[in-house]
Amino acid sequence: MFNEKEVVSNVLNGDLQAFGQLVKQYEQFVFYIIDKLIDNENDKEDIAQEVFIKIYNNLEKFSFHSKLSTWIASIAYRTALNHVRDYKKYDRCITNEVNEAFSFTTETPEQLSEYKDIKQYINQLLDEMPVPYKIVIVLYHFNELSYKEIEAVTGMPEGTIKTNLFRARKILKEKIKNNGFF
Amino acid sequence: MDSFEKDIQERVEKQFDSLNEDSTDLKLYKMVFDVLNEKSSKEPSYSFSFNIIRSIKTRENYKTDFKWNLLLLLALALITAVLYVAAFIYHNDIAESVLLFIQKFWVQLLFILFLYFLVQFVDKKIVIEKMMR
Repeated sequence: MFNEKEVVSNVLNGDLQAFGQLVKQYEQFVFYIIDKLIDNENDKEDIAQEVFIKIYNNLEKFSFHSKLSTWIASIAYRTALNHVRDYKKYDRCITNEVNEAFSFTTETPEQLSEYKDIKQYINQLLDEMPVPYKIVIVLYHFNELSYKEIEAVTGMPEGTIKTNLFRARKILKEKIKNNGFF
Repeated sequence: MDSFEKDIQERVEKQFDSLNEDSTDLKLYKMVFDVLNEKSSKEPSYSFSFNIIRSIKTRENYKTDFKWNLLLLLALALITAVLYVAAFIYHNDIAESVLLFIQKFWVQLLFILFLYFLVQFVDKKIVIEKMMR
């Protein structure tokens, strides 16, 4: 059983094996967030490593006011976002505000027929989404974080989170329906 | 069909449409949830946590080395000061000859010191960069 208070306290006392336990506990979680935000496969492990080194260096600042997973998610989110900003690998909007007129690219019937199933198509649409839409969908639906926790992770106000979630689901639904997947 | 029947039929159709809409939404959300629930395409390597611990250990070692290097510089400054005191106040022969040697070869000595720190710096940079890959 992973006892986060005990593990954090051991790490702060210099126990590197305890930090290894913490890495094992949260590596999938961190990889999931990075995987959804970063396109380049080769960069993902490097960024995940950078996230855990930041966690180690800043662990003494963690005061248990939030869940450890929320704090780790916020570091993973900011590190991934910084990477996106530094290398400008995204040409999409990377601020917390998204142009309301955002729409997905239009596919030809041939391109649509290449998708094996609707799940592959949804994955493609999620990849195309602007970061602020994608991150709220990922954190809300997959990690099942509350609005307050998403606010702590992303720094977006609760109202913006709700709006982004609503718009993201709406454009996703419209796109899928318009292309006859339902 | 009278107007009452028409009204009832319209209401039933509207209800039916909204039920359809709700079920589409539910289906979509279930699909999104299923997609998000699928494993990440990129999994951490087996040695991931080991690499992080190794990287942290290396960084800690470099921090300790940095402290020792600062101490080395301080020690050299202290030795030079002691040599000056010994040579100019106590007129010690050995101290005077060491200072003469330093005066003669100060460029070379500084260059050796510079090389020593440069090698340490480059080594640290290369090792950490390799680890981050």
